[in-house]
Amino acid sequence: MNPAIDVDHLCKTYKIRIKKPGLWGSLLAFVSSQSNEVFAVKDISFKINSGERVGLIGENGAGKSTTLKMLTGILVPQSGKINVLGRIPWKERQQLALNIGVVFGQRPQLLWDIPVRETFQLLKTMYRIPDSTFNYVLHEALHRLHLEPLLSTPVRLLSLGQRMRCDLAAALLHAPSIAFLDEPTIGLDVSIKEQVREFIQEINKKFNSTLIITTHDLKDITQICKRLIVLDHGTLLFDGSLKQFENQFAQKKRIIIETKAPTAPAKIQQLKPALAKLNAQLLEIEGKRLVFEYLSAKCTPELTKLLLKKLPVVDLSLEKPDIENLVTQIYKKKEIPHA
Amino acid sequence: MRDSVFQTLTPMDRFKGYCSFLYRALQANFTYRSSAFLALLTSIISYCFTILIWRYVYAHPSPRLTISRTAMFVYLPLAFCLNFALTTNIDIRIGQRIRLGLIATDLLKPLDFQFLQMMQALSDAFFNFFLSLGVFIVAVLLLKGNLFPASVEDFLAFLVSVFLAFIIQFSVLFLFIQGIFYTNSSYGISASRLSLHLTFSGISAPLTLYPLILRHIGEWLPFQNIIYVPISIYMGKYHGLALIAALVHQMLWALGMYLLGYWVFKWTLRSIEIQGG
Amino acid sequence: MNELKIYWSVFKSSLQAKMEYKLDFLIGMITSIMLQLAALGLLWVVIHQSPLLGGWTGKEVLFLFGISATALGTAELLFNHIWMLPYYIVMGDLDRLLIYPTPPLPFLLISSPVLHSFGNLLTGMVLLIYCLSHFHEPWYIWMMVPLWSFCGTIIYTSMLVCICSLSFKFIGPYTYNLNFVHSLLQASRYPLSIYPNWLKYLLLFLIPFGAFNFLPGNFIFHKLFGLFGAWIAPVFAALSIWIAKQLWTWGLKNYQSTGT
Repeated sequence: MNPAIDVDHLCKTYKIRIKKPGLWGSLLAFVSSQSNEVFAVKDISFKINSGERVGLIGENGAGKSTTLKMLTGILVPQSGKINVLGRIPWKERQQLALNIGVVFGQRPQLLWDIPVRETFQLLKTMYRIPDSTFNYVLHEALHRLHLEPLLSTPVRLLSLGQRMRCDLAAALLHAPSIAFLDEPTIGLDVSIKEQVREFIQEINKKFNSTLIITTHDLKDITQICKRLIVLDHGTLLFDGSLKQFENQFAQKKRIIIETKAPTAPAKIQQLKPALAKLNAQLLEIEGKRLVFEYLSAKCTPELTKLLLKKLPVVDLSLEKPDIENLVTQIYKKKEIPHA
Repeated sequence: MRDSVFQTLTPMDRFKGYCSFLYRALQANFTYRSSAFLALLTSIISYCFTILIWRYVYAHPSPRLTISRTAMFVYLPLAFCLNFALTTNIDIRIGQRIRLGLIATDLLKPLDFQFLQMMQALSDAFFNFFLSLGVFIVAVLLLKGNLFPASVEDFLAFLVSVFLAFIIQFSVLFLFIQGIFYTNSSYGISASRLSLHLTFSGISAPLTLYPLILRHIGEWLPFQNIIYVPISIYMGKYHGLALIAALVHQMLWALGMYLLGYWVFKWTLRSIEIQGG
Repeated sequence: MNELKIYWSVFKSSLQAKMEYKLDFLIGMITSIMLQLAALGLLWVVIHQSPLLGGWTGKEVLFLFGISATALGTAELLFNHIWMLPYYIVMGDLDRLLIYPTPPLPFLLISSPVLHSFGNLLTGMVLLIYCLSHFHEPWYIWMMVPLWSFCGTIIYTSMLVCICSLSFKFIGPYTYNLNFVHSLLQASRYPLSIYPNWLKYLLLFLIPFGAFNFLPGNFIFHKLFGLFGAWIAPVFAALSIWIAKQLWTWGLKNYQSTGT
């Protein structure tokens, strides 16, 4: 079976106008157009099978939105190939649009002046949605996202959270084969985020649609997705399952112990060779609290034994960084080059 | 050491506040100049049609045409430039702030809202003034009009008159934009002012050419004091007492309109609070 | 067919939504009439000083004013949203039109009708009726007038689309560019024969507002250009739609390859 999405060596550059500051600068920019080319997406390849749920993460400017826009046919790629549902998005954008659903979390998609109900009816005509699908998704949306009281309100009178829920319902109304959700939970309350995630999962389960989610809230991903793609400055940093991601980046574990009395520096010096043997090191020392970091899970028993023997331990806990921590660590590492 | 929990602003503090606001506004205007050039260009083009129409009229005049060609082609460029200089985006600015709900933060500032907005308008007008000065000189030379004012006194009076015209124009804008509290039609608000301005200010022709009824109505409206009166002063239409009378007349309009704006705004804010909007 | 249904339902629902603001509609309508009257005021002044404008009497010029007003009225009533395109580009909102399975341009055009422009339409109709009955025009002229006016709507909107598409690439998204087209339409309310040659030819060929205004008027009042003057408007309308479509496609392609 062909993959639902096939991206092959995708590149996209942006032209950034060079503008000198001040009045003279704006005048110059007005007549001449010097520009710099900046890579937004640089040589990315991946395949996504139908029914997969993929989280796409990266810092601001990592190329998430650009990638999404190219996948939906809004932007034309510079080079490389994209194939979505057997079509080339930018060439066959309108045909493709029938089979995909898109949410751009930061912008409202619904028509500004029209009540939500009318918009839904409009989308029904536009996407030629069969009654059964329409009624099912609408029912789910009304039920799970509590849209009932919003139906007769014009879009421009809705609050951000309300609009977002309506947007999401609108994007999934035609049970698209692929749903691209760009920041579907941005700016929402925690409880509403939960509702949104449940709704997405429900629709995904029912229609077995492919999901691509970009987000800054990693809970979206841990709850919904099975697979993670990490972009960084336009390049592909990681592509694999959540489990793999943890294994690859979460090799470092921590032991945190608390001792009866503050540990003397001399004692720590004594410990050092033994720790080094186990590939572990003292990370932090703060009064009675000591944090050790070590590489492989295999060492856990021996390290624990060592610490219990040498130090007056009153409390001991193991810590495995969660995905959120991992991602922040990855970003941080780039910023601070290794000494 | 503070002797009271409440701090009060001395007049000096206030003055400094207004000055720093004006400075910021000027600075911001400097950064967005390229769009102002475009604005100037499009207004020139659209005003060109008015000039072309008058050019035709002077090529085929009727005996009724009493204004001389040279006078007309000072009047029209000057009317354009004055109008452009006094065209501030203040109504759009305030309208946007009201619509986005930012007006609340403006009102929290310890300075008078109306006066702050006038400072903003002044900074807009300041740039437009220099832009349009160049346009005026070029246009009058091209059209072979008479570039110089009637006399030095007239020119000085003209400068005073322009400043008063600025206050009147600002106050009119400030009054009209408050309509946005009562209706959603921002088009209606700006276009109704524009239509009155076009009819009664004398922007497209000297008011003496207009039908009598319109001129009588115009006497009761502030608009002729914005364009027609300053230009008439520039062209030396008023002498001695008449000149002073015209300036005093303008001054009264400026004061009256500013105060009217002030009171209506106060009243508007109160009624808005009651509505809870 | 499905697409027409979609456009119709977008238009219908926006119209319904706008209908709810009766006061806004009323104010807007009155002010658009007032703006037309202000322009007529200037015409009065000009005619008073020079009774024959390029060979046209004041009452004949009213025909030009009428056609322009009805063309503008209909254009704003149906397709006014093109004026928002610059904002769409600046805010990156054009993207949201591109995710729908319908062509974005018609969708954009009709998605926010300006009801109060009915004031323009009304003023124009009054002027035309007055003018045509004053000159005792035969019935076939009365039949032709709506056609000319609608051609005007099409040509005006097409020109706006053209300028918008060009501004994707060259000038940058400013509404000023569109104001230029609007003021050309205003200029075409006077007989083109009073303008210098460059402007005359600009308004006849490049931005052909003369085709639905000046040329038909010549056909009626001065028997110039004969049937050519009467039938050139639809030809120019068709041509300008075609050009607008080409330029739009080209402009959109530019937008899609540069992004925001």
